[in-house]
Amino acid sequence: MSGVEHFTTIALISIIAFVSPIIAEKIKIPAVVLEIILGMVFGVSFLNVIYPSEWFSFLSLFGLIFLMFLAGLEIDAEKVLKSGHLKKVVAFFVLSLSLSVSFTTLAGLSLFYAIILTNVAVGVVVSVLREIGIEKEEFGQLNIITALVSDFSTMFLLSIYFLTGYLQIAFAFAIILVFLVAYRFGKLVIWHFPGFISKWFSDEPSEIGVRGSLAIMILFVGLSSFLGVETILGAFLAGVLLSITFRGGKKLYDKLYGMGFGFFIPIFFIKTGSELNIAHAGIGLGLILLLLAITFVVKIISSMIFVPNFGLRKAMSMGLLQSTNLSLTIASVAIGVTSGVISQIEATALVSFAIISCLLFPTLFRLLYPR
Amino acid sequence: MTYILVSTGDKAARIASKLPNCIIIDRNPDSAKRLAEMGFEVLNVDASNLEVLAKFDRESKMILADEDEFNLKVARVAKMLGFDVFVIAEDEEKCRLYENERISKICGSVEALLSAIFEKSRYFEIKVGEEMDGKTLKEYDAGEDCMVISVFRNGKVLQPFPELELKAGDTLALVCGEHVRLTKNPFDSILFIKSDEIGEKEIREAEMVAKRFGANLIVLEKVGDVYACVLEGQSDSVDLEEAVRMLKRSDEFDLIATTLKEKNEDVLKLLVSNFPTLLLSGKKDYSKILVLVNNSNPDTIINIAKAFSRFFGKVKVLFLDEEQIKHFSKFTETDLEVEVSRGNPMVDAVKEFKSGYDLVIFSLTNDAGNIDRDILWKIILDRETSVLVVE
Repeated sequence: MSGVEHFTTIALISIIAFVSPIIAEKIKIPAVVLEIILGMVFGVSFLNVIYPSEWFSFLSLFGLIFLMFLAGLEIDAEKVLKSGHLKKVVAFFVLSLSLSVSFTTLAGLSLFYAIILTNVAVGVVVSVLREIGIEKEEFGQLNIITALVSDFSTMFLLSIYFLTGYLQIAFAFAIILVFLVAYRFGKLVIWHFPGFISKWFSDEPSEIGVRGSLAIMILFVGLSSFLGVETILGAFLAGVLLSITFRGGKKLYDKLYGMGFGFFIPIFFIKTGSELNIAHAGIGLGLILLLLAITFVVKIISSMIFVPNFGLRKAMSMGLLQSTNLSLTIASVAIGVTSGVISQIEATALVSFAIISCLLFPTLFRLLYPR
Repeated sequence: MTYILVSTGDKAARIASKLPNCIIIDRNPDSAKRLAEMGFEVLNVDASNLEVLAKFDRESKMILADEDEFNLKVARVAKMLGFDVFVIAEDEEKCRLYENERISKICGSVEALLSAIFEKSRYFEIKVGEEMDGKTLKEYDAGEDCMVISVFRNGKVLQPFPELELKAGDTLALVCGEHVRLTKNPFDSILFIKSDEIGEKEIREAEMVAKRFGANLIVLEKVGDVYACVLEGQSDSVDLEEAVRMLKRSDEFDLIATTLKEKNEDVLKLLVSNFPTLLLSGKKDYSKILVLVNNSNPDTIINIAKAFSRFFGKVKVLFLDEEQIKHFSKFTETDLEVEVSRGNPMVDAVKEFKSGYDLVIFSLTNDAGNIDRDILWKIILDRETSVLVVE
């Protein structure tokens, strides 16, 4: 790649990352969707001016790791456990997964699809609920908790899915064991060295909290890599570890979100978009429609569990909102292509499905939700 | 309703001006004359004389606001005749003597007396005199039943806070009543649950707390596996759950004092859901008190923090959630150091606790600040610190 091509790629990525949230806010779509679409426009589908390179791939991979890390950090275990509807939320997930497995098997698709279709885009769910001002109400909270449980579980199932052979399964459990030990150790550190840990959450110029958090993330990713387990599991567990050990600390989390969503994660989405060939979407149109239909049916049926609590209309609207897919699907596509589980055509279809789902289902939810 | 006020001088005028149908009995001829000139109905006689008091309607309320020695003499006669007697004690040490005369309505200030008479919240305004000029609001003793809610100065309303410097001519707006008394001293009767595990030091600590709050200390003793019930003269032995329920029904107690040697969620939940529970560690005094505001509805914990600050001195209050800042205005004349966690609430709470406190107060609800349950139990079971747990 020449110097001009390097500069073009850097400049384009910077500009897309900068303008996407501004435009997305105006046209009321998630910024991630616009980053992928603009990546497509400037990538192989149309203009082909984003060129692949080692540094681009590295930053994109780091973006994916950061995305999974922050997904773990968002898990509020306390909120989930204290929820009065926890049993029903778990039932919703189990039913969704069972139906997904059944429908995808009937359609001749692999288990990979079943897991993806069970996932819910937590970020989109929260922003839609916030938009109509019901995120703090019982119905809003239930939607958020359901999305959190689905997101956590599918993330975990995907990590297991990519394991091959008994040795890798044993290694995955080894990572979980390390996670549990680290959790106990973390509590001991808080109890015995609270002065040191409080520096993590202060405004010290050395940013010791950010350094410590990144060190934990990289250590878990490194351990996953060393044991041959998918790195996203390590990143995700590192995020969950910080979340459940420290149980809060807005300042530090804001800095980490700033680093992730302000730099690394947009690069991952732009790169994903730039590598998708829109021509493949036409070929995979049938698959896109099938995935949309399956996720719709699966989530609507599962949401009937909540009819006794909220009535038919609200329960159905919940089903629509829970049909939204985004970040994890995109992340899974990246891993799926690398590991050879899906083809490029399937990858394009899956990304297109995720984009359409997070534009279509929130709109239908807004129409159906009784106000 | 007629009020018979046994008092003298300015104090008599101040009280009589607040009461309808008030007859002042002033033993000092000069003072009686001045009061009469001010328009009050005054008798210059000796109120300790049985014949004098016998002339009044027994339905009248008798208010004794003279010197304690004289009040006591009049109180004996008034009780003998069957009057309803209220006393403003000049010296707190004399309260026991009044109690011996079976006078339960003993008040520390004019405002407290008036709220006790009217048995509901009353609003008063008091001018700040030269003697309080330059002093801070926390130095102003509004009495057990009253609190300052506003300070008026030169046409402006000032929000009261402990360090507010008063000026002669300021007007203090006070609210007096039973609910204010409850916030200032919420503990009238303390139930001490005694078991074999409790040592001499813990017993002394319970006695110290009761003495500070002027509360009765009643003992519920564990004999073997059961508790001897102290209520309604019942002699049957009951288990802890039944005993606590019976005590709750009796509505007599405000606080439980006991020890907990090992983690037992069920027992703690049972106790705390019925009464604030003080877990003793054998402290001689509470010179350093920490309040962790770890619940979203912190009124109870704030009231308890204020009460402890009133009876034990400096109390540090650590809000664990920035949302709780709105409760700042509830701290007025009490001596509290208030801080908000700006970093990680749980880490800040542990760090503060580790800096060494005699007493830590927090809520078992624990729905703000996200403190890990295991960490809370580490604090509860720490042998160096006593812990007061509220619901």
